[in-house]
Amino acid sequence: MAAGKGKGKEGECDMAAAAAEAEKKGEGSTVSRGAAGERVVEDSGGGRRTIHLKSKDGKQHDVTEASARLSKTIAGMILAGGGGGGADQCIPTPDIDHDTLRVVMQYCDKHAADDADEEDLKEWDEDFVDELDQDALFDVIAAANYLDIDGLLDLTCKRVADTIKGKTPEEIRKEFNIVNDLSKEEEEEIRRENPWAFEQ
Amino acid sequence: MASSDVSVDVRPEFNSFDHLRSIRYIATDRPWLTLYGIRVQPVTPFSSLSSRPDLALIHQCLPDELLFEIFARMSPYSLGRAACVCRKWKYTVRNPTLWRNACLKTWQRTGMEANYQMVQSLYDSSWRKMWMLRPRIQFDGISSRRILS
Repeated sequence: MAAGKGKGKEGECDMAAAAAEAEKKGEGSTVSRGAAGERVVEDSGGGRRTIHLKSKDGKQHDVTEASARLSKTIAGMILAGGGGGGADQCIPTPDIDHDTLRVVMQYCDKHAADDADEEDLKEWDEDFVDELDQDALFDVIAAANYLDIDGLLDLTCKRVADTIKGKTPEEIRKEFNIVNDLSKEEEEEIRRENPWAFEQ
Repeated sequence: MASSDVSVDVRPEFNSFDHLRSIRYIATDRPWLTLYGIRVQPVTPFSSLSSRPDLALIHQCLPDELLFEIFARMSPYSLGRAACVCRKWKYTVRNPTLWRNACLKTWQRTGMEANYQMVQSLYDSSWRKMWMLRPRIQFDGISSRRILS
């Protein structure tokens, strides 16, 4: 029991020392106890710490922590201290190439900005997906899914859904370069099952 | 010893297996000899429905669960058309979640609990069947018409 008390005292000293050190540096970090009683150093810099993301092709992409935290996958890695846990973390994203990562982080930077107005964001999102060609769009969908960025996944999937909307099966095939592997009988059966789909 | 030092004359009939077809061995039948020279085609894997590689970018880049995410953002009318595109889409469109969402949205005034009871009692627990068979009001601007599929 006594040993436990001593350990607690020691922990408090550690925290005090860390807080003093942070104050001396002028970083404005605060040291507190987390929910489970663990030591947590909070950065009052508003997530301005740089996160280094390493893409599939080995290139590095630097983003602010606030932007990176829009991805639940990266946020989890930051929380777990993945990739070093120092002042600047390096987090690997092995499933995403550099160009796709740059596009994804462009979205995150815009949405993490404090001065982002909802109407402006909506307009910006429209322009953002308009600029993507089909190849890039599918890569961004896969990346948004891997990084778990709900807003981006929703935005890009809606864009593909809108492309399909109002088109006949033949037009959809032409749009996405899909080969029709359905037999005549199968296609007729589907049309018989769903006559309402072809009335609109 | 160099290989050129030894020269062995091989009878021409031993250069191929063809002569073995005509020879009858005592009490031994060798039907597999007829397979020589025939190119055996490998069986197409169950997963690939056609032997040709899929050239569609959407299929190369996106797995089935992401194709589902796209379909989840489409209207039931678009889904009905999408089912006619190819086999992959046909089977993805049959996902009950898509049709459950469509039914609950279309008949939301009925209430979720009532819809769940209805799908179990009248439509064999199939949301797709419910969407296809249950009459619904379709609003086309001014008029509203009752669709009976």
